[in-house]
Amino acid sequence: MVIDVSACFQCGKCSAGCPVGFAMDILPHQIVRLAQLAETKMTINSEAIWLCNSCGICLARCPRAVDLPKLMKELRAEAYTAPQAKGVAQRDFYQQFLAVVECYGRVPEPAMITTTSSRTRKLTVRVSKNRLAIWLRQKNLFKARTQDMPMVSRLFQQARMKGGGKCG
Amino acid sequence: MAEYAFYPGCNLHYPGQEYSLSLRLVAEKLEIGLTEIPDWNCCGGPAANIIDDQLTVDLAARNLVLAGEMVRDVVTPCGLCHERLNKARGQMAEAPGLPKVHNILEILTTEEILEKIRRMAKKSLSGLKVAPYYGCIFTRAYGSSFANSENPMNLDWLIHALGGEAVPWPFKTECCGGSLNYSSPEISGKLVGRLSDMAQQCGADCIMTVCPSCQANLDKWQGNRPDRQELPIFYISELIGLVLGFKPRALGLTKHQASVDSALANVGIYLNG
Repeated sequence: MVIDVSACFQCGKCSAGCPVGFAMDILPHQIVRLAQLAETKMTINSEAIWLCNSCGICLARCPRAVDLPKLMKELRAEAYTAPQAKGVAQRDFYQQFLAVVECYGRVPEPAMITTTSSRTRKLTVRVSKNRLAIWLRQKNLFKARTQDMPMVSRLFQQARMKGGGKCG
Repeated sequence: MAEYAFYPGCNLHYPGQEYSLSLRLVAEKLEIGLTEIPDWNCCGGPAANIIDDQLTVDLAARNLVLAGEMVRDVVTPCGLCHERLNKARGQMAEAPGLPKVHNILEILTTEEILEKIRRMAKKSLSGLKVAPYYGCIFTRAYGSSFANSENPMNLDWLIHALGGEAVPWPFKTECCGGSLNYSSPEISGKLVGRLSDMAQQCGADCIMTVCPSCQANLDKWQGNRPDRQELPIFYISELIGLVLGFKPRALGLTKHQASVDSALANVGIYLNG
């Protein structure tokens, strides 16, 4: 891990200010403590790393400038392919998001919420009637996409070649 | 006339079309040239960096190269796009002629533009209490220029210039949970409720935001709490547009989910007027 966690003296400011702390199984300052102890198994398999929004309030308030958002991100990246990892829905979201980018170059909102999840095989549709009505009035819902898709595909291919199957 | 390469980001093309509509009108009126980067692609959003750091940089970098060909600085309204583009720029330090990346708030709240708004105002938001909301990443993004990431003042200045009252409240830069929207709607719903409740407790009639994800999240999911009152969630460009005299319909105000009628009626603006 590239983030220096040794500076943390466990004041707990990060946990106190975290907007999703109330839903976490391991609190942010505990994640840092576990990283100091090189105890990664617990953190990799935690729910907390998938609830972090990267809002950055912990880092903004940290008296020791420990880059907790980056630590959380690194843990998510590590947990992404770990067998016991939680955050199934969040991983689905990431996967879906990237599949849409690889297909359109951009993320058309309708594509995001009607794609079948490859992990759970569940069709996720979360759209209000009002929204649907707005879409139905638009003619070129999926047309506004990136034209130079060969270039976008190449970027994904490069990542896939070195990325050990994370790209799907 | 200042000319920029405009990077709208996916949000503005899809859920946030009101933002796109109103921003174009307002920018034109204020003589800020926003030319969309031709054939731009997604910056990688919240997902690409989990998979591969290089992919994140590459996706953002393609846009910077396209903007570089336009020989203009980049402007984006989205906090996350701003961060991704800026990070990519940092990684490409050796490439010559890379454009700078600004967020739209910096551009719209310079003293010069605020003065222009005051001068060109056809209406006033006098009497409207507005809670300024920046969203989380906007002020804390990599490469962001805000001196105080928890109490930024740009939106307050803008609200004053529009004749409204900026309500002091503690959640100016508190996270709305937007990125948990798909995976844990119950948690993002709680965060949305917390923001809406706090704004109301502090006496706000509405929330004005600069972040397209926050607007989409707050506007859509406030309504999940039928027992509570919903606040209208405005994009900055919508309120600027109203003051500059544009019709609400032209600014896309009819596309909102949380009703905007009564807040606007307070300042003598009617949706069908």
